[in-house]
Amino acid sequence: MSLVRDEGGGGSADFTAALRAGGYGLPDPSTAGHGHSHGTNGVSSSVRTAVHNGHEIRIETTYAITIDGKPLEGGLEVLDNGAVHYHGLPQYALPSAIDLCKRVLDYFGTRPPAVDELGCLVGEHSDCCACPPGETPAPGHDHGAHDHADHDHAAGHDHAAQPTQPAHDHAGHSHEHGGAH
Amino acid sequence: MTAVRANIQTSAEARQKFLAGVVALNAEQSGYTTSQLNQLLAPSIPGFRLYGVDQQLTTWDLFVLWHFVSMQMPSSPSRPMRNLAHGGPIFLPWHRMFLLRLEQQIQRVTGDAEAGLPYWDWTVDGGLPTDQQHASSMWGESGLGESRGDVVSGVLSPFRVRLVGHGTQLWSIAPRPLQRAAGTDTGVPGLPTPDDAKWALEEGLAYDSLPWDVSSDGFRNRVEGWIDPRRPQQAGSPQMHNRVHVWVGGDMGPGSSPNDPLFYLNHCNIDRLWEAWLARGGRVYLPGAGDEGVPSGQGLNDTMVTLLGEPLRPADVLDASAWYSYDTTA
Repeated sequence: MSLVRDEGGGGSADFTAALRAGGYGLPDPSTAGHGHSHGTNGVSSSVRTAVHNGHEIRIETTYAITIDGKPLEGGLEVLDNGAVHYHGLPQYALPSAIDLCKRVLDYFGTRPPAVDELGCLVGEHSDCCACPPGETPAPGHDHGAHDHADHDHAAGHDHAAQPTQPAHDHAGHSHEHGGAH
Repeated sequence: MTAVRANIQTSAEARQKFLAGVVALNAEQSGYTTSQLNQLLAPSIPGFRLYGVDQQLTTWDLFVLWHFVSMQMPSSPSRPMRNLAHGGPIFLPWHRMFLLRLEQQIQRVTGDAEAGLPYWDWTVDGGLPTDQQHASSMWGESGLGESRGDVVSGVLSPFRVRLVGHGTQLWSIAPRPLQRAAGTDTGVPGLPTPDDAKWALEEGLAYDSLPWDVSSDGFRNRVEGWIDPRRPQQAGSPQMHNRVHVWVGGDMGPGSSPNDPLFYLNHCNIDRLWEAWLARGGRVYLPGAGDEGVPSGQGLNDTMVTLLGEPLRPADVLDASAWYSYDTTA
């Protein structure tokens, strides 16, 4: 055990050194998935197992959830005691998936909390009206006064309901669940 | 000298120092914009990105980001709600590190190298009638501000939220006041009580146990709040730490909960209970060498997920006396 007082970069620019390095203690990005059930198109599965009197019990539970016809972003997990959990509300576990969806609506509503300018910066808005046709926006790309809420996005963008699936094409990602946050 | 952590409801000095530090960190430009952070984290966290508006973030916001990112990090084998900061043995050491880094930043901006994070002993308020808990001395203009609705009075009135969890995504939004909904969730009977804390500290209880997750019995899971066999009719309902989050509601609900300074007061009380357990039972951590089913990234000598400050291992934080102590662990 360390008994050495560690200043932690508290008073210097080194305080953000870990951030600049991309973080420490992270799982290997080439093999890591996510720390929660992600779900795809509102469908998520949980597997519970137990052994009783030498017999193996396996219970697979699948939820397919839509809200106003749009798939819920992120998946539900079932705890061993049967309670249902949604990663976006990490301290909640409720006996009813319906009650959990009501909590999700109470917390997050059905609209995104902001216009997503950052999608352009990572190249997800390839059909964005503010970008020259055929060009991928570069970091620092200026959106100016353009208002995403006033036009339709192509390429899977849907600002009408949240939380829904992430606003981009999962197939373009190579990590475990094929999805991004 | 090291910091001494005091009860925020009985130490006006600790409360004032803490709130001054919070407001300063919430106003201090970090030098990082949301788009820059996306570029920094993309190589090490494939698929993760911030959504929303491109803006400069403050030092306070970086802690929100750190917590949210850690909550997305898997610990294998995959189990419900288990990640590299929650739902497993790492819960207590990771949050001890997280609080320590915030405490060091408060010491920096207040110029007081011995400023300690205060704790909220919510078991005291938990002893009040449930309809009075949201009106205790914690709240109001002289305390942490409004317990319900927007926080627009008191020291925290200039405080602004810029990153919010929205579903499982982290969004950058136009700055707004803190929001709370204390005591309005009909599914939560009230704050934890002294009997709850006594139960968590039951004599002879191990730190954690197989399968090292939210179903395990042990001190860690009792204080994290995923189990309470005394209340079989409330299977899965939030207890202890979890219940405080849910009871406060608002910005304390999503994974961006370190937005609310109450996050630190809640976790400081959890850390105080852990210190009581460590002091009584020995400074030990489980799983240990030779244990079965050790979740990845949660061993005694594993580096904990770090975005700010120097990385630490659970082994480094079992004795925190080099950094701080509590005025009382009783």
